[in-house]
Amino acid sequence: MTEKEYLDALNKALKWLPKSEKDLCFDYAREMIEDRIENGLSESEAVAQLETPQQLAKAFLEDRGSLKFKFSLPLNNVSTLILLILGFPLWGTLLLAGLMILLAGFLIAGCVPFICVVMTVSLLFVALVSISASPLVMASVSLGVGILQCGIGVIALGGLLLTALGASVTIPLFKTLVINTTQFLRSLFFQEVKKW
Amino acid sequence: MVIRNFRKKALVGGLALVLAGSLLAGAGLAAGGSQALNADSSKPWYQTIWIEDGQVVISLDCFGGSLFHISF
Repeated sequence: MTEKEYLDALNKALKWLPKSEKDLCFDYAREMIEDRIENGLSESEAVAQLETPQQLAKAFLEDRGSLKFKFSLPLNNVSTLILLILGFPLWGTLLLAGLMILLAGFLIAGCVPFICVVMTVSLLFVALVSISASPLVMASVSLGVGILQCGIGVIALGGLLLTALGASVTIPLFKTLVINTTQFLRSLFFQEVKKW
Repeated sequence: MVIRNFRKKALVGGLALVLAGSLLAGAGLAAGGSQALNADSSKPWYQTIWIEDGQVVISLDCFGGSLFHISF
């Protein structure tokens, strides 16, 4: 396995992570490979000595889950604390309003993948019933309605492929949006103690 | 890469099925489907397209409710 293949596999194993965090893990892997190459190994031998990309990704994710954060706001003197408590009616309501706006944004953004999934499931049933029952409709109602219903079923089948595609595109986007936003909010108040 | 190809195939397949379904539906209308679309009370539950109050209804009614319902 070459370095590029290793990093591609690592990229696949860490696909849900934001780019900045993935880069940390890539840098670590590159450094490990380069160290081994400097010690006289070939590229493939250096890669073979590392953990598998899946093992490295698992270790990175586990470690990331136990990252340490420290509160980064300057609350080390009494006057700041008093000012914060007295100003709470102002900044507290603004903070609450901001959180509500954020939540509303998440709900609106989440509607798109949700609607795609619901449409996929319901179109699946429409397609199954319409197509499988169209011969019965041809026999019991009329030939034209049966053919028309079969056509509707085929359209529903196409529609479900498109909505499933929409879901497969929008679900990761929504997940990335939520992760990036929460990481941004966390970075406003907490400072990460980096380990990698 | 596999996912990307799958998405491309799903897009092309979905659009092709919508086009094929539209042609089939057009053929059904040409075969006299439009005259027989007006549903009466004896409409079977598995009929998923009919005309009601002058509107075309595409619906899947089952278990006393409507799983899917659009009208235009």
